[in-house]
Amino acid sequence: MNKIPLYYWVLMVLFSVLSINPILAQGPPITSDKPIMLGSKRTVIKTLSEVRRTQAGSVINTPLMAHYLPTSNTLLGLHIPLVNHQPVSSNNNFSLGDIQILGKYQFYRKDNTGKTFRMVAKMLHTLPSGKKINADGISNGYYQAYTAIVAGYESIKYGISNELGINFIPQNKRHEWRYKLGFGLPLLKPSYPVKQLNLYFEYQNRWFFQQNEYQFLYAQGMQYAKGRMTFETAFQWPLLQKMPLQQTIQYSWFLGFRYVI
Amino acid sequence: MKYSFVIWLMIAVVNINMSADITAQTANNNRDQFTVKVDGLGCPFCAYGLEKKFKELKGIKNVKIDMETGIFTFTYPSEKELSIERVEKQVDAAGYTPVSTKIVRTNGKVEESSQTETTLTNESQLITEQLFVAGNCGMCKARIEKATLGIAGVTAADWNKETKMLTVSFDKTQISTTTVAEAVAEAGHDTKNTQSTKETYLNLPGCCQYERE
Repeated sequence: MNKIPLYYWVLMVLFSVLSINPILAQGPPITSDKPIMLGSKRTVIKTLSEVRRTQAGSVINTPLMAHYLPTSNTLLGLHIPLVNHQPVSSNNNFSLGDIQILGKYQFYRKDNTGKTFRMVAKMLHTLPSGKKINADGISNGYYQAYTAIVAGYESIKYGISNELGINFIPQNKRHEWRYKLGFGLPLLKPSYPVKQLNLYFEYQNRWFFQQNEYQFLYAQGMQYAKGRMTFETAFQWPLLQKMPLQQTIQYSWFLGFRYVI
Repeated sequence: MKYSFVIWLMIAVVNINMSADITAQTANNNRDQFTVKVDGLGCPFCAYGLEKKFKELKGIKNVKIDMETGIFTFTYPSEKELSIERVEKQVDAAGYTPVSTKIVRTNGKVEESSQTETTLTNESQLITEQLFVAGNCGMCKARIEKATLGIAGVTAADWNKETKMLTVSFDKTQISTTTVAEAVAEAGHDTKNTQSTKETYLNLPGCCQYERE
């Protein structure tokens, strides 16, 4: 594997430091999404780095994610990924990935003491600003439109989140269904001010129905939050997959840090 | 000389502590105490979101949130006269459901949202009226009935999801249907003659956002 240039690490650290949130960003699930939105007229800036190892090489993605909540049930987001691509057969290169525009609308909410069930409609538009390096969700170089429903139950004892969606890529017809399922388990008694140690068990399914290709991934995640600081990490690996060689994932490693002002 | 200096220093320290206590007590005496029961706090991050939203109210202090019971307590300067309606709107804007609010004012007066009692006298004239209230779902029903029952003078309220009609019994010497219409509009629901503000309407959960004319 080629050596990662120093400027990439500098930018990665800078992004991590920049991810100082005016409000605590929504916590995990780490690799999936959850339907809870935290208050109107709020801005959240965060990052979650991913190191993805495939048969064709490695990709390190450090996105800068900015979310704004105009009301308590709507969210607008912009994700700007910085990508370091390390192909097996050539030198590594550093570039901008595919910029994403996110929109979420919470259309159902049922609250009770210490628990809540919510449903959210989600749209994610991916712009072809990145290079064509076959890194799905990071840098594909194609316009993509993703529509999904996120439903989740969160209580002080456990949390469950589901996401079912369809992604269209008009240019190469690699349309896919996605389903994500995540379970969260607090290991410490939930208390406020925040002191949490959580375990996350997350499944991700992708089915490219026109090519009859699929991917079934599992991620084991952990989060520690105390006061204003939150650390989170997850390790994801395939349980089943039938994908083109360049997209055959060996593993992914996620790492995040947040600090609240 | 040395001893008298030490004694003087001790007295000074005690004095400073006492005056600090008195200042703190005075400060607390000038602050209303709020106890809010909030539903939907499924995790400590939610509690943080709630506190952060309330930090918009400048002067809030002594914030405590019990995750298991959903009890949220804080104090607020009494001269700002923070109302139950404003507190519950803020909880709603944070994305959670206010269940009940109790305020203990500095003058000892207690205000409660969920236990508004109606006192009937010999002069009271109890009547039952129906009025149209816009809404969609079970959450709307709970909100409309809560807003109506929160009015002093109302003895019963029932909103029908199918017909959109609110049947309300009240003492007509104390209030009128206009009072009821204004209360439900403040909670986010239009009636024939009273409209909720756009901001309040947009803060309703998605399932509650009925079609407006």
